[in-house]
Amino acid sequence: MVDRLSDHVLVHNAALGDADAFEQIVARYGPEMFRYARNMLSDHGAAEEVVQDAFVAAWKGLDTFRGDAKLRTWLFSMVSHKVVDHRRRRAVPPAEDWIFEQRSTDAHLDPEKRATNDDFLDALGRVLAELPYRQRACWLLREVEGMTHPEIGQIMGMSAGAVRGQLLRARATLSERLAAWQ
Amino acid sequence: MTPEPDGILERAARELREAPQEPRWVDISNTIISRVRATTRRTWPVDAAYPTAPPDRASDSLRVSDHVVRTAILRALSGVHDSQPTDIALYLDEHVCTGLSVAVVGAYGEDLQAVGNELAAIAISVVHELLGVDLVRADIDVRVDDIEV
Repeated sequence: MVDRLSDHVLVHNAALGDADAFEQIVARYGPEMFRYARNMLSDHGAAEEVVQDAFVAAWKGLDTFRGDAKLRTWLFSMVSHKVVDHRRRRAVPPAEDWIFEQRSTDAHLDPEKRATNDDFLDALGRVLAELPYRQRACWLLREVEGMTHPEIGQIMGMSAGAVRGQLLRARATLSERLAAWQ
Repeated sequence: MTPEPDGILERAARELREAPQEPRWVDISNTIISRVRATTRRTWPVDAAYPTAPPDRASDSLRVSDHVVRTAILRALSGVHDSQPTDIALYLDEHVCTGLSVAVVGAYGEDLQAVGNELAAIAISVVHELLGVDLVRADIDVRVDDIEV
């Protein structure tokens, strides 16, 4: 059964042209890549497109994967680049940090009116969507996807120290914006 | 229960982590696989013989992608004596396959020379079935790049 094969073997087999092995890679890492893309873009259709493009790029580029990074990190780099490409095409104006210097008084963050998990997730989605791109990416990769600082650095093309800085700012902003839920 | 001051961030991460898998994932995954299978990678056509060509069609040409040959060899060799191919290259004279190079990770404790001979024999058989080309042991280079304990 190919299900039990290690990433190492799957990559070698897929690089040799074995599409079934690549299918196992898609099954293994696709759901979390999709989750990341969806959380980054707040757009289900766009996330689908981005993940498809990332996997096609990975398939084409398997020959260049040397195993210096983990397969998962390499795949997340692919999806991260595709997210950036998508944002460029969509021309989303980047959020400015000063926006978050003021405490939010949005009515939609009133916990007395919004007590369910769905409401919390809605509020979280809005707050995340307003975070500057790099802060949001670093926070999602660290806290949701469980990546290390160096891994995030590889994905984002930043130093581990810069990742820590982005995380600190993201945490501060999220804490403040979600304070009403505490 | 009221979360701790930073508990709200832990909750936020947990809610996203534990969100149910996308219900349409199977459809999305199928689309990805279809696109991947339709994506051409650089290939090289290799001459093959029709297995049952009548004499009057002997001059017809049949060519098979090198990817097809490599994948067939990979599948035939994977797991033989617990070895795992890591690279398969075809030696070609224009479009004619004249030999193979196979790199593998072998299993600790195996007689590597015997394993190499067996892998070569299997590869020769696959090439014969697929291309109708008769290679001999000397045409196959088997290299053990690593040993898995």
